[in-house]
Amino acid sequence: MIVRLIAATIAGGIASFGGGFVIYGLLLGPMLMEPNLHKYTGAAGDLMKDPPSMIPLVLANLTFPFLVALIYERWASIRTFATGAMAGAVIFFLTTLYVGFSFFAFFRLYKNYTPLLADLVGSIVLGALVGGVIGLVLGLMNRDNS
Amino acid sequence: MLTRVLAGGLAGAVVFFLGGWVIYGLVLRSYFDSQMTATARSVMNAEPSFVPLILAQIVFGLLFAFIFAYWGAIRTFVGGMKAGAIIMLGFSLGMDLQMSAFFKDMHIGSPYVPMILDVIAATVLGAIAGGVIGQVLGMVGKE
Repeated sequence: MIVRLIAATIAGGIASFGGGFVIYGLLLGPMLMEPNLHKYTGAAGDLMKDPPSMIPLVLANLTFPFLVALIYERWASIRTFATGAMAGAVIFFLTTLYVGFSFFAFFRLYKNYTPLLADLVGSIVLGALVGGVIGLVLGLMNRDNS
Repeated sequence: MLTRVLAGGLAGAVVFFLGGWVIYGLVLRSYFDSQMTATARSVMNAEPSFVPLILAQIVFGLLFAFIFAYWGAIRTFVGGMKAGAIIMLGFSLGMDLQMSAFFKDMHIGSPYVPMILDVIAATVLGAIAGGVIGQVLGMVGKE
């Protein structure tokens, strides 16, 4: 189980990092999200890091896929790309909705609802990709073991 | 199934809301306030907006209830507590790492101590909310 979890986490992490870079870093970020965020110029300049710190970003991109892989392996018994993609889309959509509402509750970051809507669309696509890859790897490794 | 998820999710939302208020709003508030930079303060609302805050708790409660009922077959307080702690540990660690990757100048000194404390607090909150969700799923399922 541990080996399967590690393999699925690494595969999901690569999908999350690469997919996140394309979806958020190249498409949604510059086109829809950044223009609709308030700019803050504190003592250290703009609030957002550009580029982001890679070590915590890589670790974050391993933590979320590990959690998804654990849910699939321990509770959901998901072993295919299609079921993994559907479950990943649901999990990412709801967690992004939670984070978006929390940001509205606690922070003055968004000028309007455009960044949240863009984030939700991005999360469904990214969640389907990451969840699908994790489901596929878990399925392949279960077949090898049986 | 839908009734169970709704009942469990709403019960979880109440616990996330009240538990979050006690843990973050009362017990840890002065610590986290003392760790924030002026930049971080300028980004935060003086008081949280309640409509999005309540919606966030409902969404999270429903997500936990969905995972427990649809995938986990979790129907007890202890089972929900364990699953809730695991999910919140992973989620809060991932979120804190992501925040530290994209935002700068948020904490006075090292960001790691507030991060560790937040992960512990979120895990405790997840365990309590998960336990209540598991209990409610078991009770509604029995009826």
